[in-house]
Amino acid sequence: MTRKCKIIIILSFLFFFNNEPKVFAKSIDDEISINNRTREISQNIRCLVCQNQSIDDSNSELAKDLKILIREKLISGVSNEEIYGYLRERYGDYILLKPPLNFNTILLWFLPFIVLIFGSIMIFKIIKSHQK
Amino acid sequence: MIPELGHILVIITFVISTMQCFYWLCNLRYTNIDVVRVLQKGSLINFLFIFLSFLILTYSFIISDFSLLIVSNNSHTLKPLIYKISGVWGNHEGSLLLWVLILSAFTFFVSIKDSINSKLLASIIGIQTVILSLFLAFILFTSNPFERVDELPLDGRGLNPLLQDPGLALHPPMLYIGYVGLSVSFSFAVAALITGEINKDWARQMRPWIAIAWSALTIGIALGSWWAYYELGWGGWWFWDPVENASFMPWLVATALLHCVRILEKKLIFINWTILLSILAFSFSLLGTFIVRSGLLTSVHAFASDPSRGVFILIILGISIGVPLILYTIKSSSFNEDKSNFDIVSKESAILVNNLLLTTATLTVLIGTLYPLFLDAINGNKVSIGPAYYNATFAPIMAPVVYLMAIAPFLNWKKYTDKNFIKKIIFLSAVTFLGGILLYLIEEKSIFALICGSLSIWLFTGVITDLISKIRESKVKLQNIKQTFFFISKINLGIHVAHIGVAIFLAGVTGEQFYKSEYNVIKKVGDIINIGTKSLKFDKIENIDGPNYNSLMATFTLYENNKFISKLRPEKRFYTNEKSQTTEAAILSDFWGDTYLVLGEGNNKTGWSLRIYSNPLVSWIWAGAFFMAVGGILSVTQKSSRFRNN
Repeated sequence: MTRKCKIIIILSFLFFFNNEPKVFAKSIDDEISINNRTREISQNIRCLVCQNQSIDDSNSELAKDLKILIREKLISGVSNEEIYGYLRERYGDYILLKPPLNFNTILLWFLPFIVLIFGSIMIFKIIKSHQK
Repeated sequence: MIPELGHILVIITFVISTMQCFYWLCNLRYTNIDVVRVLQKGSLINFLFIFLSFLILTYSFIISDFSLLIVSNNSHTLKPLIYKISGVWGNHEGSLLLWVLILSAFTFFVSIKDSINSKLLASIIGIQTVILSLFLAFILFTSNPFERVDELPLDGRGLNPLLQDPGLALHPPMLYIGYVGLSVSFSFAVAALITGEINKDWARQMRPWIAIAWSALTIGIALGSWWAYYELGWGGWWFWDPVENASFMPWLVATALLHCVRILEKKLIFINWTILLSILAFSFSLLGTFIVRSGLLTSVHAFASDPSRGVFILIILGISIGVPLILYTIKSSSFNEDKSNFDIVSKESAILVNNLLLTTATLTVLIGTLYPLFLDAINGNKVSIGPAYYNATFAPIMAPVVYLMAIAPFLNWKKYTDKNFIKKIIFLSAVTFLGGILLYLIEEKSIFALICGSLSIWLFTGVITDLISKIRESKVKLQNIKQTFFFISKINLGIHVAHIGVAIFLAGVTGEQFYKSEYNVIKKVGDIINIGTKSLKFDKIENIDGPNYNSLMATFTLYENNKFISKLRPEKRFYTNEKSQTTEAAILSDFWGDTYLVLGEGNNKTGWSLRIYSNPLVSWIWAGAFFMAVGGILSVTQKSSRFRNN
């Protein structure tokens, strides 16, 4: 293997496996807010290669890459919603740990509260029926 | 030869228990004390045989008899003795045998309760035995723990290193005592449906069993959560994982039942609801057992990999849940309820609201757990449901529960008479308001932190206020043990202890959830990390050999205000035999919180990546659970209704 080849391989390794963030925020305040937002988003993104973990908890390569991706996007001025949208488009609803409200998840989001309302009416009636 | 004896014992028990079931069913119309005697003897034999069989399996694990399939798959000669023993239930087959052992023990202990009337008792033993037979069949036909291997391996494959841990050695037995304990109240309920008779004594006899099961379940869940906290190295304590939810759902229903049954001890109202809850509590236990055991949720494929097992599971679930529910729809309208009135502001109303909220909360967890499965089955769409969902649905439903928990014990049964009720609420509000302001001044966090913390203060103040007023009213002198017991039962100390447990738990949650801080750093040996008033010095990193693993252990010295506090030793363990690695966080716990240190990847040249958490009040979470469990056990001594009636 030629020397040139080796260098290319090493460089490509460095390129793909270097997980240090390459972009830095402008000021310390920005840096802190970016970090907080990265964490907030990471906690709601599923690590697709793990068992029921968020990428915030996970140490897998995929999770690391996604965290860097989110960070870089935030620094370039993208909003939280746009990042969620981007990840959803790329990986599907499955990646969002907080399922979005749509036709598939209507029951998921509303059933508890529907039951609570009907239950309350029932309990109210029962209590009323036990009055003198 | 010895394992075959264990297998034969299981077969004999299966035959005896099946015969017992038929004996019970044939004598259903003419049950008398003689029938009960026969069933009692049967239960004793079942218990002894399963116990022996379980001992034999344990013995096979201790002597590392690798001719047994589950021993060779789950044990290893180098494993410490305690994990050889806990390895018995660290696998599907063995844990089912433990399940059956606990079931036969509960059946035996309830069968010798001669104070229950014989008609009811016969049916209770009968139903317990039906469940026992179903599970024995499941073991014998699909999950035989005594199966031999064809070729004797040189050594075993070892137990998953994550499970080689004292917390997790105890977690399954406690959880199972909780799950299986709920079978007793289930049997009480179904027996009531069969005999068509229900009275206050039924409820009094049933409540201790629920309390014991509930306490064991509380401890079991807490142990699991504690294990996740220190073993997984993510610093979290509850992940809303399907497997966690599986144990949490029966706990929620059992909590509702434990409160609801107290009404029935006083007067015969809400009979149907109590019966339904008893059936549901155990149904959720079964569901929980199977979700965990079948791998139904963590991996859909594990369930399908052995179709016979899956089908069997569905049959058992169908029989144990379906038959009682059918009976319920037929028979539930036949019970005569008392015509009893109660005021809107009374204990009865409060317990009804408690039940509504707890069942809705259970439903929320159930939906969150099973929804991805159903959606996938219906239209192939995949969704993930994480903590954010539960924070938005479960938490707002549970907040009023805690709110009411503080004030409901002030109320009287039936009538609203307590003139101090409003005064107490004003006092509570004032204390909580001051506490809330203090919380806000300590460190400004989100509104949720304020709500969570204030609820804890509200509940704590409420319980203490109630305790003081109950002690004043009771006028019992504490001179000897008997009077102490009388005192404990008279003021229902169990309730106070359990509710204080919830307050402590919530304080822990507030601290851990909202006030924790995390630092990610890369440091070399000799570096110093400053965290507030504390500083950590990286002393050394070295390789150390454990009994069945190699460890990379770092040593840190923790100083606070330049004063030596403690050494911290986070590790990465490599289990050579199991070929897997675990992270052992170094945790320094004190009353006010934990310092939690995790050693990450790295080397001596570029430094080691370290994660440091400061988790305020986190141990209060498990301390709270412990208090709840103790409260549950104390409530067994409580016979308040009888004292007050007499």
